Amino acid sequence: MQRHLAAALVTAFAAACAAPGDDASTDDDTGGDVPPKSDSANPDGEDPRGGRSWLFSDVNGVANLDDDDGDGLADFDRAPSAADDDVSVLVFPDTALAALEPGDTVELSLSGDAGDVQIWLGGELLVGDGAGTGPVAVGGDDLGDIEISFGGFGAVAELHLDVVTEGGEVAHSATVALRSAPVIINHHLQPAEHFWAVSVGSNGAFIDTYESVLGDRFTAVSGFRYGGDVWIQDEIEFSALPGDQGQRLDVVIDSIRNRGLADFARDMLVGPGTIARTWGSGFATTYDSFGNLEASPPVTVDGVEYPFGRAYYGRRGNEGIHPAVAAFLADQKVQKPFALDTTWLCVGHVDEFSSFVPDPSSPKGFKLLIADTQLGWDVVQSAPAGMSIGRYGPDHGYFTAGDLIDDRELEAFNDEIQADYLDPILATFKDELGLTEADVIRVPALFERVAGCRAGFAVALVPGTVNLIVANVPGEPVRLFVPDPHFRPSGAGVSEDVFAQDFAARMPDGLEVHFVDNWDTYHLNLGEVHCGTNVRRTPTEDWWTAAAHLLGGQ
Amino acid sequence: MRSLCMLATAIALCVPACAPEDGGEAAPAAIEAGDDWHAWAEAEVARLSRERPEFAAAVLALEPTVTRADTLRFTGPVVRDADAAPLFLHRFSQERDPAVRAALAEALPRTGGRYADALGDLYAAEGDALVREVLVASAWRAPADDALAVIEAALADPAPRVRATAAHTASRHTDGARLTGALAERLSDDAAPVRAAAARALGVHGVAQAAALEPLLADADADVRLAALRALDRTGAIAADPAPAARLTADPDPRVRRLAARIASEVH
Repeated sequence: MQRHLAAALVTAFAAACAAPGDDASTDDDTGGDVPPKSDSANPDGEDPRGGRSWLFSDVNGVANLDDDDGDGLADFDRAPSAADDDVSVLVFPDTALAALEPGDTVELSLSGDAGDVQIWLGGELLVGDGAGTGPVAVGGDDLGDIEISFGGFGAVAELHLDVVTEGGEVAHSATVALRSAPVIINHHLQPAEHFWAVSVGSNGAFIDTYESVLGDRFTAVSGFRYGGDVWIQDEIEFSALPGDQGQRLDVVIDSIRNRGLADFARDMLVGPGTIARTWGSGFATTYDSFGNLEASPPVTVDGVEYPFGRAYYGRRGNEGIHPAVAAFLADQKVQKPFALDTTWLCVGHVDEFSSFVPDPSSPKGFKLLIADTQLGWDVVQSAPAGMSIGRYGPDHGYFTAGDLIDDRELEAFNDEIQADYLDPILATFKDELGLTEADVIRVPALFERVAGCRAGFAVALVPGTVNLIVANVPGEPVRLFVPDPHFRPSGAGVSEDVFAQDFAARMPDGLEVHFVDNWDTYHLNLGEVHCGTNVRRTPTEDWWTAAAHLLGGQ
Repeated sequence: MRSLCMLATAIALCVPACAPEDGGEAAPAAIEAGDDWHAWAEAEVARLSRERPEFAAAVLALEPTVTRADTLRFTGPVVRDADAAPLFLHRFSQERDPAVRAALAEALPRTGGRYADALGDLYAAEGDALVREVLVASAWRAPADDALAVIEAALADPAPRVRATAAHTASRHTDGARLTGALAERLSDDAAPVRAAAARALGVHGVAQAAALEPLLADADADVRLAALRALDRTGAIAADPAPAARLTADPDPRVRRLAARIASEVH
């Protein structure tokens, strides 16, 4: 019922605003200027028998691939039900229906991506997938609200409506633009709704921190059920797609990585309003993990606005995310992807050295955080040489800050990483996202060489503080969950930790920093907080208006 | 006598660890009389089983976790206990899965216990290249007498990855400069990663080898050119003769170009 009311308001408002002599643009309930489509027979939209009542706003929906009624079928595979909240409704105003004369029929036909669209009337499939492109004639007395169901992402089609007289003449025509949402992966400025991490016993402090701060917005996933696979960031990527009649479809992009968490999305996320999809198949490399796929906040690059930011991922030569995923992301058009060189990393993921945090005081509303080893070395040198650094002793071979400072090879290694990889990566970020140094916060970091990797050779020595989670829950302070650097004597607190204090001081005002102990379960296993967490977020932009220039005209 | 003991131990350990490169199964090693570290480890296992039974059981039963890089690691508080070392050495001698042996090798230094004098024997008896690579890498935290012997042996390993790791471990070890001769030999290695690692090691230790390094500025591999350029810079050779490096400001590899440009700006 709400769907129909929304559709009716949109359609009627568009019709009412299109008075003769007006220009082509009009405002509708969807919040943007949507030019009504004039019919081919009457360029100014004037129907000699009913005024301008056959003008319809574009329909911008979502793929109807979830299962709202729980019958085990995707909703696109059956007639719309009362539970189906993802169809779009095309409402015929009473004036339009009243303008039909006895004997008139309305012929409906589809063009464009007709295979991804279905047009339903009263539970009967008229045209579209499973019924052909038409034309199909509907008697004037039988015409009512039309339900439009989309079966794919980024579908572009046109519904043609011809009023045909009893004598066979086309008295009036109208064309309705139909479009379904592309898949848009979430970025860190979108409000956070829910958080997941895998509980394996050894990460009790990690789980406790989330539970105590986030409460029922956090779910601890059973590690026993999922083979102890804690890398939940790597298994799935969330995207949230809105429609212009209040629809929302969450698409969980499920990696081909398929380790312990392979069934997590289908077990715990799929349901009404949420689907899981996988692109690509076959052998998965480390680059297919979704800690290696991120989206920037909205940016403008060379005059082109990207209201959903741009997607980016790490690559080693010709080896990156699966070509099917890369191609799919590019085909969505709204988050033009680019690649970063992660040749040097043992794991090879972009979240090991970069992230974005909200910063309302910044012109762009965010800051890029990027690892900087020169700053890392400066922080180490700021500590008393004789200071014990606790866990670093047994686990990394450095028992005091002085042990690090004296390691000439370690300093050389980090100098090389900065010069050969991190500096060029920052330059790429600036070029691809239109950033300046003012948009960047360099974060102290140190890496070390590790043996036995299939890919690169470097991992975080100090827990990578950029490998964090942004928890921007509406109505609450913006929180950052950050790996605890533990760069201090055993038993000392975060306030005595030079890395932790340096990080907190660099963050934008208003962000609440929570350091999380992730040492044994994550850091020693070559990952950090972001790697071990995933977040569902709320869509904030209307893709049909904000990204119209990227999607192209009909 | 030590050589005979080492040979006997190597033979004893060869049974499980000298499995074919495809990881086929092999029987556990027998304990030979007169072994140093091996006898000690077995004695420690017995002692710990009596005196710290819960700890010993926990370490002997500890399952490795899967890292984000899809390798295996042993983590947790029990690993950071010196008494874990003999228990891991015992497990190593019994373990048939090379991936687990690699994880055991990686964990040994983190115990803080005795492991260094076992490295040479473990390396010599190991049939899997990945495990040998990790064993050699573990040597960077070992005392020089134990570490340098295994690193030098690994510089002649049949597997390029092991040779490269040996060179990197030499660069990391504080006494790695004592392997200058062996590292210099690797500058003409067939494998580019080995040449690059050897060049880097010489540079890190400040060993002047300009005559051997300069030809690598024209190497077909960019990583080798980069490492050689950096090594020459670190050893002061560029300051003495900037010309060879100056040509690399037009190198096809951006990393090499950047380094050459930085060096050129500093020289001038």
